Amino acid sequence: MDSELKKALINKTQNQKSPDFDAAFFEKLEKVKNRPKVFSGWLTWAISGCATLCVLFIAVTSYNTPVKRTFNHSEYINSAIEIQNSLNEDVSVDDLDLTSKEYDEI
Amino acid sequence: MKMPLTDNQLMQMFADHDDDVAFERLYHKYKDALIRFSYGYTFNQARAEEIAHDTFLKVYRYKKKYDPEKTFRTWLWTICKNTNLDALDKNPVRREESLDQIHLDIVDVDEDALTKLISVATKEEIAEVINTLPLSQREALNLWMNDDLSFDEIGTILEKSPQACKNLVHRAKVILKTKLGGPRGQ
Repeated sequence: MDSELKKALINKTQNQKSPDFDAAFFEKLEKVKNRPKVFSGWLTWAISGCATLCVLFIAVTSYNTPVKRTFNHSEYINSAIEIQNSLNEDVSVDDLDLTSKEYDEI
Repeated sequence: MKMPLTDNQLMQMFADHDDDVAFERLYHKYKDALIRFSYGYTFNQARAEEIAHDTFLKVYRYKKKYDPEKTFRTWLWTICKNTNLDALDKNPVRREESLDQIHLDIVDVDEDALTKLISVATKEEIAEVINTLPLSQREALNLWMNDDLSFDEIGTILEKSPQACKNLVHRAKVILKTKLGGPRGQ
């Protein structure tokens, strides 16, 4: 009969179990129960997801792609003239005359 | 008279209401069978016990994933089988495969005679024969003998057709009878 054969097989294949099998299991079970559940709630996932999106958004929008600078010749000349004019503002017309005594000493 | 709770009912109580008593009842009912089944994969008692532990821990952790439409037993055995296969991937165990099984398929099995042979043989002799069966036959035989599973349920667990599982169990029995028969048996 099927059941007799099964019983015979079970009887002959049963190994001696460790004496602390149950104790070891319930110890592992306690660790699983006491494990901190950081991401167990939907609210935690929602808040952390939003925070991640905010950080990504700031990182993406703050990034400026470097722009190739071109040399503007006319702008350079105009700037140089402005600088020269501002330097000459405090200098009188007489001072500009190179034939005056001050310069004869050379 | 109050009817005892079925495994499905116990599992639902545990899943829906965190009833640890229901979980413990299931644990005590199936622990020995899971160890025997796992031994068929690992050939190591300590590892088999560890895998039995891991199986129950998975049942505990994933209780919400239990589908009440399916039987608890098929769910439990499927978890155990997959846990064993994962462990095998990490720590492969090599065993000789029986090469003389092809011509055994036509042999019929007298189950009474086989039962007698098993009763007479030692544990070591039976272990030696079972352990050299191909994995697929060992799996099917272990499930068949360790629980009152139908071949439909065994097929669901092993992802094979019920007829294929029946054939696997039959071949395992034939090999057992042939190898245990020897000079002592018929």
